[in-house]
Amino acid sequence: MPDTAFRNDPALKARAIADIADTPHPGWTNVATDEDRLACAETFGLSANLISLLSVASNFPYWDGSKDFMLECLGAISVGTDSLDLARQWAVSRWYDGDHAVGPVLAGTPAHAVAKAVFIAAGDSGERTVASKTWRQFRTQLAAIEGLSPPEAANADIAAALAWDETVAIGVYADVWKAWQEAIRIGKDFAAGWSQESQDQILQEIRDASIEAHARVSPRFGGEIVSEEAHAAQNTEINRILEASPLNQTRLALLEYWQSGTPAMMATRETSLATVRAACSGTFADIRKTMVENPTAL
Amino acid sequence: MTSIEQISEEAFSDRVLRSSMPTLVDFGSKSCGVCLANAPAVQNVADEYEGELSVVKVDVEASPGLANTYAVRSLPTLLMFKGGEVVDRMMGHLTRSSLARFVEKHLESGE
Repeated sequence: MPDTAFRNDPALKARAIADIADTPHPGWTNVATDEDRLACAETFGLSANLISLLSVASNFPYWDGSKDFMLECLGAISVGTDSLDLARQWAVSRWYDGDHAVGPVLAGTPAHAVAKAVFIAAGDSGERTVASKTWRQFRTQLAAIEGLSPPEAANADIAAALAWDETVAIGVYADVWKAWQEAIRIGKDFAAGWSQESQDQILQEIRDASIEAHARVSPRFGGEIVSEEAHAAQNTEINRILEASPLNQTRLALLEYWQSGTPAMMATRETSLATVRAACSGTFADIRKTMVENPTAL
Repeated sequence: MTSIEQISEEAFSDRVLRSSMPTLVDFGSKSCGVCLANAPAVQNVADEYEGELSVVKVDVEASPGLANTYAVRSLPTLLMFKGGEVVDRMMGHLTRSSLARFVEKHLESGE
């Protein structure tokens, strides 16, 4: 049954927008419980799953731009449209849409067929019920796949996040958002030569080097530091040893990557949010039809 | 919806250690924001695996002895018990998908 946006009532849409702008219902927030979401959904005539996607994607109200984002999205939703389908269509479009599509990353991997089946089933779920057992089988199959690179595994995780019954799992599409953002991050790190493993290893090496430098220096300061001057001198000596270490070049390179990565991730976030805005305005095509009829493009 | 019981130290042996089913114990507290954020995922997993998995909660403020016994140093921590023993643990923020993968490793059936 369609989850008719604002129960076909323009006045209810106006109330929802006013609520966000004034004193938002707890169900709109990123930290809302399922009960809060359901109450908000009932109050304003929207799918709890769509509300969850909007609030999690924008981290409402904790990101400065989140209120504007929520207002834009609510404003874009047509009164009477199927609001659950908006969230569903957004999630399913992750398979092929934009620079961070799941399908191309998984192409040629053992995860491709299962992941694609998940996305097609999710696209179908608005028209026919997909059994809970089927979703579970998909997740089990995805979890059993070995030999994927970190970006491939992260994209397979997006499919696993999608493999839930939307009528039971409030927030399934918000989880898809989280998994998708994580996959984008992992993909960027991997492409830049900084896998999570390599970053963890470097951080551990820095910790080990720091402990070693401290052990070398502290006996010369009498073991126990009693004055601020001695403490500062000891730290200066430790820093001098660390900066002279070959590891320091790697540390600086990692720091530079993190600093340059922040603006890039913010830009990516804006692009990602644009996909949700587009979903709210219902601009996605019939995705299930696209995937079934044009599989070679995916 | 499956009811997730919050259990006391006194009930822990019966409900967890002597349980015939694998049991997921969610250690948290009312003041832990991540615990609250995880709650929908824990509830979904309890519903999804009802009959195969038992899920209970422990409030560490009410049951500090259990937190100490099982070396719970940060919240939230989820412990998987089988046959009275801790067989796995998971900490921090989770999604229903990551929790399901954690749980399914320890269930008898993959179906």
